[in-house]
Amino acid sequence: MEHTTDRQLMRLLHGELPGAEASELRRRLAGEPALAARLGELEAAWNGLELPPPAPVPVGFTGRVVARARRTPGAVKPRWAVAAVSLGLALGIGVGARLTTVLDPSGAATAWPGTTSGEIAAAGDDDLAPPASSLADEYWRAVDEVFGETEVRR
Amino acid sequence: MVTEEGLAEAHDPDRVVLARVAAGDDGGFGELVERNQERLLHLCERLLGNPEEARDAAQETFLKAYRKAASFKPRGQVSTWLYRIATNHCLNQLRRRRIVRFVGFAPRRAEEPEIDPPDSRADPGREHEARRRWRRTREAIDRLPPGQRSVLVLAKFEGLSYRQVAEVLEITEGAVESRLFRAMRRIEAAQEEAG
Repeated sequence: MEHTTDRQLMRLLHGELPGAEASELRRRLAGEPALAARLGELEAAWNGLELPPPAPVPVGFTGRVVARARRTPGAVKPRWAVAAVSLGLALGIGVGARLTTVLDPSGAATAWPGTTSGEIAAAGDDDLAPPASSLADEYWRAVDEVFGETEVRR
Repeated sequence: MVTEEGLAEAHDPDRVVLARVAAGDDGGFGELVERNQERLLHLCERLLGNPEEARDAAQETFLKAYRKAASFKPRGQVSTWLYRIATNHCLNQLRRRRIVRFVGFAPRRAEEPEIDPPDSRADPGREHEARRRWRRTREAIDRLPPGQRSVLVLAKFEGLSYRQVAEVLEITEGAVESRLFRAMRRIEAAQEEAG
């Protein structure tokens, strides 16, 4: 049997031959017993392919898949979470860069927190300079303002 | 205003689920699995010839879909995309299995599944005949190269048209026809051999 005809017969069998070609082949089949016999062979081979019915879906399959998907390391992250992390990172870098500039306007590489309070004061930025007095002094000053001079202190 | 994409989404709920998963909301993923699990399990079993391996393969398919949800291109049906992932996964499994067998780590018997008819109440004569046909078909399919095997399984057992097979495998319809033709030649030869 001719190779091309065999292909055409297969496509006819699978319902893949366009209308006009299918009609032409059917006309030939009616008049050529050898061709009809070949179609019969192909049909028998195709229909003879059988497999056992597939196993049913295992119980709990969906739940296991979903649970595994959520545990999977490559699981998708919400876009808002990605955006929030990116924004946080950008802010962190921005603040860090600003701090470095503020703490060392000369541009010299001063490692923070190695910067001493004296250097900070020298930089002239009062908002960032540590208080001149200690926390304890600040506390007692606040107490004095509210209650007047206390006996305890004296 | 109803857009074309909106209409497509309305026709394919899995597309909506995938879009949500990509955005971090996997609430509907279970429904997507439920809608597609039976077909994928059957496809994997027919390609691999083993229900246990098929379960693993189908599970891996869904996990890949979950991880790659953002990369899904909304051109075709989600089920076609899932078929593609499953087929590629199974073909890789088959290649690995061949390598393992070639190297000699696993005996050939391990690949041959036990085929038992599901209903033992059936007529024993017919049961025996059915078992014989199934085994013969399984052996014939197992001898096919992976490319021909996938085309044959998709066309014959999944009932896909040449165009659909071409979409799943990302090949031309001509290539589908060609592979199917060669597969049928081998199947015929195997059937003649078996008498």
